[in-house]
Amino acid sequence: MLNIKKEEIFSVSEINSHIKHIVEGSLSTLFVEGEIANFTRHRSGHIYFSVKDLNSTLRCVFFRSYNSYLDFKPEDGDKVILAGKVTVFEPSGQYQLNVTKMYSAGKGLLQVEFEKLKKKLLDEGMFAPEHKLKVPSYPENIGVITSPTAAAFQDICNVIKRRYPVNINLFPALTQGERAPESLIAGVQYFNEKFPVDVIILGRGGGSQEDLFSFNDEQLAREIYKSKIPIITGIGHEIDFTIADFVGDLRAPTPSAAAELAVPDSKELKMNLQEMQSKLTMIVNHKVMNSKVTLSELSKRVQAKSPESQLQSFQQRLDEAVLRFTHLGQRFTRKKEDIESIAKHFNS
Amino acid sequence: MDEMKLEKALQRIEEIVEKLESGDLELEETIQYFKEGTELVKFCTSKIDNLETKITQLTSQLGSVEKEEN
Repeated sequence: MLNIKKEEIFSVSEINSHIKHIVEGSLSTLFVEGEIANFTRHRSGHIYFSVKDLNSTLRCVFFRSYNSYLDFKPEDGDKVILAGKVTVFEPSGQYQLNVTKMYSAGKGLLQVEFEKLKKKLLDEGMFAPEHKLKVPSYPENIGVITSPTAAAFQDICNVIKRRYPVNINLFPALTQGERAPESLIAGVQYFNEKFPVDVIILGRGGGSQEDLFSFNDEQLAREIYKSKIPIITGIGHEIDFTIADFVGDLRAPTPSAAAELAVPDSKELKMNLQEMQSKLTMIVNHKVMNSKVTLSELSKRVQAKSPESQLQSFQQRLDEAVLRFTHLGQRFTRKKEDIESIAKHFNS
Repeated sequence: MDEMKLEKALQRIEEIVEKLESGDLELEETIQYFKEGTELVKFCTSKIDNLETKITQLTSQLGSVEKEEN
């Protein structure tokens, strides 16, 4: 007989469930590089395959909802980088990589680096809306960090001159190549430490993904995050998102659009001012007219109480009194005559 | 008033219009606010009309300390 208590014996389900908890609880999203084997696309649209290196194999499942974004046709033998989560399938006790993204290893590397950094900074809270600075509505000095020779700077200047011509201070920077991040960082520091402006535009015209990669630099992201001056990013085209865009205070799709967001439209402003002026005038005219009406009513009431009108009414009352006295006098005279005639009668 | 920023002036104009629109002010106050509002509108308009772009190129490791006007 085995000398073990009944409670100490696990069921198979318990073991699998326990392992599932340990594995899925401790491994977050991760990246795996390997070679595809046994690639099968099921009728359901889900893809099942393995990735392997020289020594090992890892089972993978790539569900339809994720694999519909694939931008190439993977085949057995392809080198790929996978993003996903390790999950345990309890009924069979097998674990697998639940793939959410697949990159072709050659050109996918930049993209993978980007995703990794993005996730890291996101987890640190560097993209949090609460941290974003408010871009001023009426700036007087604008800092621009971009290449002095590129069209992007000219575009920015044109928009600002047309909409709301204020001072533009260019920090000439490299916007591509190995030394670009360092030079962009210097720009952010320069405005923060030596040359205060109301808002900074960080811009670059369109280019390939590799061209824009300087804006995915981690140190640049941290410098943008630290900036006390609000930063508007306008990098590449509508579809391009860089780490700088995520960490900046306001993202514009292009350099010109960044300039539009940096300044108000003076034509619109002046129209609003005119509207305000006519509102003011209207309200005051109305008030003055109302006051005139009130005044004329009041003056009628005052006239009614004036000394002349009071004298007039005394006069009238006096006249009435005099009249009544006259009547009384007449009545008295008549009575006197009556009495006299009666007395005559008695005397005779 | 020269020192006043455009943003402050525009805010004050809004405030004045709101006060006047509320309607329960004495005539004298109304006229006082009207005067202030009108002056502020003039101030803002001339401030906007007098805006001018000056482009300054700062020094960086890329070099040159040039200053160009418009």
